[in-house]
Amino acid sequence: MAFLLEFLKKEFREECGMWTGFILRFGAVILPGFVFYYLSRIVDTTTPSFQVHFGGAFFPFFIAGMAVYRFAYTILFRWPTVVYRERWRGTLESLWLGKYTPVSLVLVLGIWPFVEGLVNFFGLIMVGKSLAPSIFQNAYFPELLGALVFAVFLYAAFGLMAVALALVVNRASEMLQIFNFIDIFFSGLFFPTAILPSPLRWISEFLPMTHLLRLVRFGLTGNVETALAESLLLSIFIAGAVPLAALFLHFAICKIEEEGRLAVWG
Amino acid sequence: MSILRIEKLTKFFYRGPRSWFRREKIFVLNGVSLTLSRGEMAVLTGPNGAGKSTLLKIIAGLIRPTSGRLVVDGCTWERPKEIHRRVGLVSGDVRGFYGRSTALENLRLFGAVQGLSGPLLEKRVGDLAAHLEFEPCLDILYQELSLGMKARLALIRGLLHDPALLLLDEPFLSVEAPLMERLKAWLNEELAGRRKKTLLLVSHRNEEFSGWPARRFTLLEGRIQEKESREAVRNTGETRRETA
Repeated sequence: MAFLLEFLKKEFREECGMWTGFILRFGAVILPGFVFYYLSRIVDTTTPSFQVHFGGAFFPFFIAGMAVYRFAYTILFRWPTVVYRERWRGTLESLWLGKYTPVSLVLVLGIWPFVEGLVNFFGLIMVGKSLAPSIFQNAYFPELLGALVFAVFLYAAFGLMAVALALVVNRASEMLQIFNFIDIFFSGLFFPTAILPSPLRWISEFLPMTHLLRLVRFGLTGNVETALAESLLLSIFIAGAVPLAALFLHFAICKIEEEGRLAVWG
Repeated sequence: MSILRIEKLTKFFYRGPRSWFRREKIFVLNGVSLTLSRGEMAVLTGPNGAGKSTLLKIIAGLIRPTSGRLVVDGCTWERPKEIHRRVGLVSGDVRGFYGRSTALENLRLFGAVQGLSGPLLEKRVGDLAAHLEFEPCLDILYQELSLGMKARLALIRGLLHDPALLLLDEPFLSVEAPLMERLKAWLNEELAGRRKKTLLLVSHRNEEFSGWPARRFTLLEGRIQEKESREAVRNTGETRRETA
């Protein structure tokens, strides 16, 4: 507990020390909310049929999607970066010499990215709500909470895989960009997957982000009909991803201990 | 009683650009054997790239050996956390600390990593800072410390959890000569002499520890050779006492 407290204090000092980056990162939560609010005032004149499920209008559809996306990709990009930063500074090696296991150290290094991810999620929802107070009035909170729990487990597993990748090949961001593009295009982030051509729609069904987006949007719009099916699918994804993440991380830790690359240069 | 026992330790790395087919295998350590007892001091020298730091990191439980046997105070590499509890690693590398935290904040964090907190941690920090003339620097940001101060901070951190074996990798690289002599005397008299800690010190400069009552080894082409035996060291110590 003392370690956790000291580590979080250190993270806060480090983050606030680079205050321009700190302000810009959190300030960036507001920007997409504003952009798409004004954009939706142009496109929200009529309600397309495929949008009915998600409350009809484009703005709540988008803001919910963006909140989930920012949560997920803040974790996926920041967590490996934090681990890489610790290696580059040589501090990971110093932490490794302590009483905590490598896995628990990696998990502790993920706390700040998770905090940032959650700030992004709730920040965007609040920005959306303050710009358009009429949205999300029928939000069903138990479903939303469930979706968040799924999101935390799912992206903890994917984050660990990203960290494992960063440990083995030093930089994970290049490879993560591929997943980022796939998610942006196929998961229904900016538009519902229903408007994709049929073969592409199949791809989207295999992406966990698609189901997480649906669950969160249904939770925010109070649509509980398909929540159970989406939850079940997400549980399957988590059941597959968690052991895979543990395996990847174990392999990565063994490899860097073998190659003596706990600390890196450049 | 031996604190450190190494038998036929080998370690190889792949060197050169990453490629699936052609990677050169380099044996950094090739059958290293070494035994150190409680309260003993040893200096390991060797040219740059001989594998001295790699050997220290293997002993500290940071790098996995390829083959051979390593026992630190009864613990083998199969239980690295047990090794970490018994070993303190001090590196001359200025990295390894958080620049935007003060020296004291860094020590609190790394103390907490070792499971220390509260009055015990504060007491250890206070004692070590007093011994190493570091008290005025505790509230300075790490990035603002001079190289010599950073070296002393690394020494304090390495000793926080009271390890039985202290590994020092070029610890005095940037320490001024008079302070270095005081630190060497403190390591000899206080740590090895009074507290019975075992010290293994690595340096690429032979002359840095001349006249120090320590066993001397050289690491060359992956093997260790003892230059000055335990008996010779004992004699040096006795001669010094007689002179005094």
